[in-house]
Amino acid sequence: MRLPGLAKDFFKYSLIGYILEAKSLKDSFIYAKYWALIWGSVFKLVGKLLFKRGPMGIIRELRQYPWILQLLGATRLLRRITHGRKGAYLESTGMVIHSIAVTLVEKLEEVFYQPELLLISEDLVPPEIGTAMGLKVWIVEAMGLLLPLINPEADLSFIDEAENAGMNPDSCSFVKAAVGMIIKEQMPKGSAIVSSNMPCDAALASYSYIRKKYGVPIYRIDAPYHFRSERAEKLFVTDLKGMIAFLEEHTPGRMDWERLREICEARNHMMELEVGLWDMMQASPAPLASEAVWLSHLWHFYWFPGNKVGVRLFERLAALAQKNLDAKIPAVKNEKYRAVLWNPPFPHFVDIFNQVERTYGITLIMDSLSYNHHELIDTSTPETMLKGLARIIMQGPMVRHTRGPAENYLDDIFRCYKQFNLDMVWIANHVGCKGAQALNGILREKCREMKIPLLIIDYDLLDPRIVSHEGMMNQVDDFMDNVMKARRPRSMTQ
Amino acid sequence: MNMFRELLKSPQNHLVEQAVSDGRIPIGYSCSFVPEAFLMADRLVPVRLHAPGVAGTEIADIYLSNFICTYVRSLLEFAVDDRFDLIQGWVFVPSCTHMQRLYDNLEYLKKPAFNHILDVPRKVTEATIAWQAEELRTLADKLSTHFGVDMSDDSLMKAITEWNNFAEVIQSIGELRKKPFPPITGTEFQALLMAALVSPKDLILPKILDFRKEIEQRDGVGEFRSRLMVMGSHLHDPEFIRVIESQGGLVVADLFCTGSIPGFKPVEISGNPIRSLAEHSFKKTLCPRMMEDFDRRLETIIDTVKEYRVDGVVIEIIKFCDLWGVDSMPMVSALRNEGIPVLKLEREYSMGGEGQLRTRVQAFIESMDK
Amino acid sequence: MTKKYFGGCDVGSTTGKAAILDENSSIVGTSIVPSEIDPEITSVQALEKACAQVTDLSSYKDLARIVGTGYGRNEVAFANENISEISCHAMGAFYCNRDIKTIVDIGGQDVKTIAIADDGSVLEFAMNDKCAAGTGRFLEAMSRIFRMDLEQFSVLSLNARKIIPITAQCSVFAESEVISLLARKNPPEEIAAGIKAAVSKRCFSLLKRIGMRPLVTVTGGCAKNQGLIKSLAKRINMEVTALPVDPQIIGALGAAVFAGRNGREQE
Repeated sequence: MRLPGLAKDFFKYSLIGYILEAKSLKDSFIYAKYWALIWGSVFKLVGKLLFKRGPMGIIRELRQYPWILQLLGATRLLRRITHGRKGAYLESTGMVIHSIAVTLVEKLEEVFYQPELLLISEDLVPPEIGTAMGLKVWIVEAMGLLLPLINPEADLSFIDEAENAGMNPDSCSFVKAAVGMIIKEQMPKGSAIVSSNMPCDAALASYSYIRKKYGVPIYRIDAPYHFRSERAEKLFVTDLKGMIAFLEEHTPGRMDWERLREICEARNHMMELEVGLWDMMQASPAPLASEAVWLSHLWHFYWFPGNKVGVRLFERLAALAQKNLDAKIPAVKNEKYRAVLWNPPFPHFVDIFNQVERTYGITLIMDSLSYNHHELIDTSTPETMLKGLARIIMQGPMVRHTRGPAENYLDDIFRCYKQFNLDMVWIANHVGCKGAQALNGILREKCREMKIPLLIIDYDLLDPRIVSHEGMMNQVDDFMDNVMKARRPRSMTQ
Repeated sequence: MNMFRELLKSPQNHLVEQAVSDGRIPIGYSCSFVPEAFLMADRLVPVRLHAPGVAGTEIADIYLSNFICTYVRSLLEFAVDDRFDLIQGWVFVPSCTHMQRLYDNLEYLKKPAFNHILDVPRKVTEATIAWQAEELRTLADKLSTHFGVDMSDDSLMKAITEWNNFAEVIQSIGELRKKPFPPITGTEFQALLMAALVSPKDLILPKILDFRKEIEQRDGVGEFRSRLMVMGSHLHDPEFIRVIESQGGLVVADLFCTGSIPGFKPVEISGNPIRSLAEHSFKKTLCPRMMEDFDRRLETIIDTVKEYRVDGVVIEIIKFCDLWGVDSMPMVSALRNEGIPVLKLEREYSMGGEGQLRTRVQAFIESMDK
Repeated sequence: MTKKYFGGCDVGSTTGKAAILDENSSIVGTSIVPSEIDPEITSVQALEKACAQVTDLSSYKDLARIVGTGYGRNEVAFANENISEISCHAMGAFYCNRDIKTIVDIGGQDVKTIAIADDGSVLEFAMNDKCAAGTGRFLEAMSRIFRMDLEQFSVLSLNARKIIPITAQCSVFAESEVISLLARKNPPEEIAAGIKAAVSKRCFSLLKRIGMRPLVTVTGGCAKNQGLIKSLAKRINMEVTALPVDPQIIGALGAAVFAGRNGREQE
């Protein structure tokens, strides 16, 4: 891109660019607030590092983790996904991005200053346990998912690295990106690893390599296929106890049951707030949408359950939803179609929901990774807490949908469709997710029977080279034009 | 030898037909974690599911998608085409995502009267062995109720003894492959073994014993440039081994799902037959689905390489198999670190592209020539 | 000029098609022209050729309303609106025969199947647009291997006594498979039957995805390939209903129907 292009691009994504485009002073103020808060988090990270380690320290860390530089694009992400949003909805989006920035800075500071406490964890091992033991949980797969939100091509070099090392190219890019980051030695190191047999074959198998590469002890938890029974819960709780004993043996962590209780209670509170938010989301038009639903859950429940930032976020999201509901203000102006996104989201094309809400009035009400229906954790004894955590993992979406009979996956879609008064189901047909691909045939026929409009979008979770953004939008357009008979403004058809 | 090949031509050969006409009950299974001996109790007959000569998987592609392994797709296609009509019960293991979804789609498209998932854990501990034993007990009760077969401890013990005798014969033939000049080719062994897996054991055993006598008289099977081991996922068609051997690499060891290493170690009986079978199913199978088995698998390969004087290892992986596909990354480098030459082959379930396979194997053998 | 005419223009990857309807929704002009690089030029040429068949019309500019469709539809700036070829094929087939419920459209660069509702609108569709196998281009490439034009190739398989299956999924590999089959002196008509069976298999798979209901018809240029139609009918075990007009212009015809309908609505 030439200099004028770069300058134009910079201007477009700058705060001034937004203010000039926004029609309302109030919205400009909201945007500016989160713009400043996000940059504030970045400056806090850099400032503290500069103070503690000096300029050479910063250079050292950046050489170790060059992907950190990608995070400087956080406000660009904010700009992309807030296009056209107003008031409380705009605020909710800003809030989610800001909460991610704050917790990520917290995490990076742990990586910089407390490496001896780092526990390398797969994304479906309950982080509550490590945290209660005083360890700092680093999720191996998290950055692979986060970075493409900011830069769609951020993972490509990691994916290529893993494939070049011999990983089958058809395996899930979520796993490939994590493995690639490890091969490039850009992943933080820890004293031990905890992983699991979830959610898929590729994730499970990748830990043979990860363990070899790290050369540290590993514990793997094993969720049964038939997980809905007392017997399965007992087996899984025994496994979790084994993990605690392992961590006490191989890391400086010690189980503090009181701390676990506090975390579980805070998590319970977070969940109650989320369920309250969902109740409000059942209203048509919905008071909030999109990132306030899917990204908030994905980030905070999977990595930071019970963290005060997350709790505060859900309190405020609930308040914002209530505010819109009371004032009868819809999140998406002219909400026409209420949609659920099933399977993982579109990290490298995160703005697709912003585009479709402006083009068609499609409102993302719910997504499968957020869609929980388990009970709160009973915090009365260590045993009940472990049982609660076991249930959350085994009955959580990624696990519930990838094991047990097909009904676990299919019936949940129909249940969600009904619960949230939806108009269409979007299947994120990630090419690497074979378990879901293998149910599309049945799903198509069931949806036809039940007259549920079904859009299956082919894409790769983290690799935009497989299906481009244009290719993804074409699939949406074809579906909207032909099946939903939606009319777009002519300017949008070009 | 042609007799074994003949038995592999149809998914349900004439020995299975004979068993059915004798009032016996064929149970189909597709994963090595299902203990064969368990399905030999009373009138039950275990039949390893295979799809010989599958020409296309058009219906299966629609339901399972094109991203599922072709073995699984082939099985669904055959099931929908009524090619497994003699199979009276199906026992699956959620060994991988693909198998899991095969069960789901089979239930949807052609619900079998008896269809069961044996929930085999993915690591071996005291708790998971106990779980596996409970799983087998549940299956035993279900089989007994549904088919009225005797699944008592005595009946199982009898089945285990029968299977052990059978396994011993297979092992004794397998042992011959350790010789400097093995009297059996890998192709012959593969045909024999697969035929044994898809036929009632008692009906095929006399034929195997005859064949053993025949090969015991042999001096060898001719000149070969090198000795190879084949490892990986499901491999059924002996043609695959034949093409490898046509390039001068005698296949002397097989460490794939349907291979004999370590699949035919006898069941160690420790009092309770169900518990013995539970322990056995973990020992006899070396699959990357098991989370903590990488080192055991590697050691077994290295030991096999030594015992069978293997010059090079061929890893065969059915396309889209994440377990073997991802696992091969550390496995290939671990073997190379041990100085073992490795060829990784991605393939489809049914033979095709013989030319490509031949070229790659030939180049591999040439690369090993000292 | 007192009478009003409505035009539909389908700008495809290999050909441009146009259809013109009068006020009574009768077809008064149709055309097929080879595609130019610029879709707008293709559409002008196709419309002009169709307009030449109507004495009342001196130029496409006289049309009361024009709907563009096909892959190049977004580039046709003079069209009053553009509607996707999926909806247009459904409407075109519905115009011809109201009992048609399922369409296979085999175009130059993709294959689509469409389920039609009772009012001619689209219920569901499926497309194969990632791969050339099974498309018009694929059949063209195959006919070249046989040193034949499309017409000769179209009837070649009709006399085949058996079918030699083509196993390669990818069109590039299928080409080399066919070349080696020919080199091994296999009867060309049996190989051609194998090629058509492979294409019908693709269509069958796409048809199953949308839940195939009779009557089934084939649109697009490849509908003229007799061998393919025979093979498809056999594969789906259903009769393939022939259309009363050239199946290649169905998309343009559907567009013209939309032009008439939307034009009248606006009045």
